[in-house]
Amino acid sequence: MLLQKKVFAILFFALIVFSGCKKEDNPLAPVNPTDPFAGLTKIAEGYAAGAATKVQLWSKTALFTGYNNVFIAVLDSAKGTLVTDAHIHLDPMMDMGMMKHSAPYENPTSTIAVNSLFPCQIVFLMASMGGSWTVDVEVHNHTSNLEGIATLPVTVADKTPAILKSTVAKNDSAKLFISYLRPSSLKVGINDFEIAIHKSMAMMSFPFDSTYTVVITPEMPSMGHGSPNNVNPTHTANGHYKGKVNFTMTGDWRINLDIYKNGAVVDTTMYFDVTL
Amino acid sequence: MFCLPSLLIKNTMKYIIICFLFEVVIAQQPDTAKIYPLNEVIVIRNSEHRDTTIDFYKANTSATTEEILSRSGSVQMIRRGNYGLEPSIRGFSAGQVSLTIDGMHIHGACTDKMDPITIYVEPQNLYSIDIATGTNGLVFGSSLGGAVNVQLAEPMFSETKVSAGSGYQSSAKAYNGNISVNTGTSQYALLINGVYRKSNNYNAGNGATIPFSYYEKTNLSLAGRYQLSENDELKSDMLFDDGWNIGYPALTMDVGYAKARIYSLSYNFTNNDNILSQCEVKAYRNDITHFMDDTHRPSIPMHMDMPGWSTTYGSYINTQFDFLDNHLTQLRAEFYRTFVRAEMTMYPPIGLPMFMLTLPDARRISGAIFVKDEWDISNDINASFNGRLENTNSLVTSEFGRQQLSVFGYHTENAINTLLKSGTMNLTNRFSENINAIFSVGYAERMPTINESYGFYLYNRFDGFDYVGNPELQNEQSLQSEISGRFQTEFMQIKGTCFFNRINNFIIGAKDGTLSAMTIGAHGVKLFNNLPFATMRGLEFSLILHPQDNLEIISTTKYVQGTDNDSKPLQLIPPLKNLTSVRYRFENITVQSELEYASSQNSIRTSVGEQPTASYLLAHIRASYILLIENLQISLNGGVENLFDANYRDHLDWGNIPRPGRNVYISTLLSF
Ligand SMILES: [Cu+2]
Repeated sequence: MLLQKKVFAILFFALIVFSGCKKEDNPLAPVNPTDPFAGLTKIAEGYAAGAATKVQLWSKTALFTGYNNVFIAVLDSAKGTLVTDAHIHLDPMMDMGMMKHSAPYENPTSTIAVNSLFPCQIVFLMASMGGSWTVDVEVHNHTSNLEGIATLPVTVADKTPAILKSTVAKNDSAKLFISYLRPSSLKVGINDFEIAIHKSMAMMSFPFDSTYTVVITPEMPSMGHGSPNNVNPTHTANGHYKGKVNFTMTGDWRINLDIYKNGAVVDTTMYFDVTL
Repeated sequence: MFCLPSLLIKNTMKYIIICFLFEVVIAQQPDTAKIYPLNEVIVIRNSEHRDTTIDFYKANTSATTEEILSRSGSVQMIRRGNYGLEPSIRGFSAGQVSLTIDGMHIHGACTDKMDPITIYVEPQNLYSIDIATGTNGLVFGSSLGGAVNVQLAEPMFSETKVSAGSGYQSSAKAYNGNISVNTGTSQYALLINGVYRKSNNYNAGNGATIPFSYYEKTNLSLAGRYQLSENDELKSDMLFDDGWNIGYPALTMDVGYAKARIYSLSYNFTNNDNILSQCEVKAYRNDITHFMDDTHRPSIPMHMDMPGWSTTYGSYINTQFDFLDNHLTQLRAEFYRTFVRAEMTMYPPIGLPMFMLTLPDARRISGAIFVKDEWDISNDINASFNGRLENTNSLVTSEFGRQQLSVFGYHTENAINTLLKSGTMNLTNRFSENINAIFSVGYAERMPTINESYGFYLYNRFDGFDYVGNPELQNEQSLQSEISGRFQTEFMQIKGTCFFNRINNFIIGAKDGTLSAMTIGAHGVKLFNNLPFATMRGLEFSLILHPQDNLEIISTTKYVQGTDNDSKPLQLIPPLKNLTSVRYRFENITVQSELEYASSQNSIRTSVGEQPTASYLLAHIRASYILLIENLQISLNGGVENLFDANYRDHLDWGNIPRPGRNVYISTLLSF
């Protein structure tokens, strides 16, 4: 016991000393709360030559198959400052050698940056293993009134359990991509549930679709039970459907999705597996 | 109070108080394990006679407190196994009945009610069991169905006594050993009791062995008294009860380990010349730990851990006043706080463990005052009034627990505060030397239990449903009345009682077909709900014949009927029962034969899948022999229960599990 206490004391002391050293080594360490890059990782960067800007793509995590929240930083090449008034347009592209395809995305909702960055979303449809992903970022710098395109190569990894599902609709053979927008943390109790539905048009255009009816049924596959009082997601905007999902205990849950359109069955086999 | 003339009642009450405080030596009479003096409490308040059938249980060290309880007065036991039987009074059970030890509230830590607190007191350590029906139990808690208070044995001043005993029961190949040491000077006294019990699977009638009916336990108690002056003393009790490998054949799980730690400290004052004739102040704390175990069960779909914990602490002050002539007034104030947490972790063959709180960190704080006045209006008329006001405040203290319940649309961020108002009035009238009658009316409210308010997927094996609590439940309210008459001569006594209860907001599970069961194999989910009302009514009848000094014949009959607002029968209502015993004493040998009859029960709640139960008739024979060799007293007890090895089950037994068949028991007790 005494030994244990001593070890703890030493460890504790070491921790204080260590954290102290760290601070000295890195004077920037106490993160500036307004630092736009706080908590983000730079995924890729490139030059939008015509716009005289450097374009960076940032994300909280490495990119993965499914719905990604990413942030575009536009830097004035000369001054190195962040451009906060610009028109940004994305164009993700997967080159598989034999063929190419794009992906669903959501451009920044405003030309004015949010905390100096332009938040936007990309639904990567597959991992980089099968080809290579690039994200073209078209920038219209409103300050300089210059335009240009930067091509950013990115790497996308598969995600398990999958948070992106695709299906061919039973009613009209439309090819649909359903993305699960995971809340940052799931808990026992009531949780927000959000999906986005995009339609594939020849794999080069993926407009959202707001016309579906979605029924969710959570269950624990190992026990076969569900949970009560879930709220089916309904369309809010931009192909996003929001509802509530309830969990009665921790463990592995499966959220089953039944999708209908005008009363016709679109798909009843889809599910997202989650863990809490 | 139902049967004795008013004066006697008051005198006896006083006498009891004296007993209680001064330890009159009655408890040391031979042939008993020091429990019967205060059994008069049972007699006075609830039962028609001093139930000599119980005496055998008291003397038989093989018997458990549960077995004694099942023989007494209006109590019937709900049985889920050979251990941990739950007392029910006239069809009332669980939250409708208050169970206390020495007035201390103790909350079970088991979500499946495997641990009624009566298991923590061994007969060797039992001073009395106070059983009150209906609102007569208000002194112990806000209950509408009655109260069982188990009084622990007290150490004796100026006495040194050692006793040791053991017993064997053939049906379960069960044995037990116990030792008791009392030591005391005129100023201090100490009592140590230790009991060990081991029971194997018992055999039902016709020989089939009932799997998972075993149990093993130890019980250790320490009690000390210290006399401060002629009129007051300090007293302390410590009780350590440990059980393990306790099987529950009617349930899907057993108990791996169960632990109770019960502590109390009290100050007692008594002075019969004072206006304040008695005062007791007690502080207590108890911790219950309960680990269920399914690892011995074959082919379970999924292993689960289901631990539970409860902690209660509280204090009360109980006083007795002689304000006015012909009045005896009791005032009691109490406070207690209970915290309960029960968890369930399930381990699927693949994937992560699943965790939930079945009792979600619930705490309940109660404060209560109780007033009672007994008034001798005349030589023949006695009235008593009592009232209890209790304020309780219940809260789910953990965010996790609240989130769980939010799934059902319940908002439990705020505490539930409720005021419970109860009262009762009894009137005793002596019409002649031989005939008297008691009339009583009462009103009582009880709050929903923590299980009923906050329980989360509590699997109930009785109807096969998962139960989810409902924080929005209304309090149950009961209006009750009781009439009792007695005719008595030197050689006989006849007593009849008839009672009626109407319970508004009767709490019961209601199936919600939209919910999916959590427990694998469960039929569905029920939410606790208030029925508009239910009624309970019944009759009790007793006959005692005392044709000669050494012969006594006692026959008791009880019948209860319970129906809901649709006149449908309620569940777990005992059928008509009769127990007739003939006791014969010849010098040091006493012999008793008993016939126990239960009619079939066909008034069943079919909507919960309750099964009818066939009638049964059992015969038991018991004998005891006492040998005195100078200071050494040897008491031998033996008997055969279920003499004809009937295969039967009682209606209150869960799961169609037959009760023990022929059981030969023997026990010895040596004391000096
Ligand atoms: Cu249990």
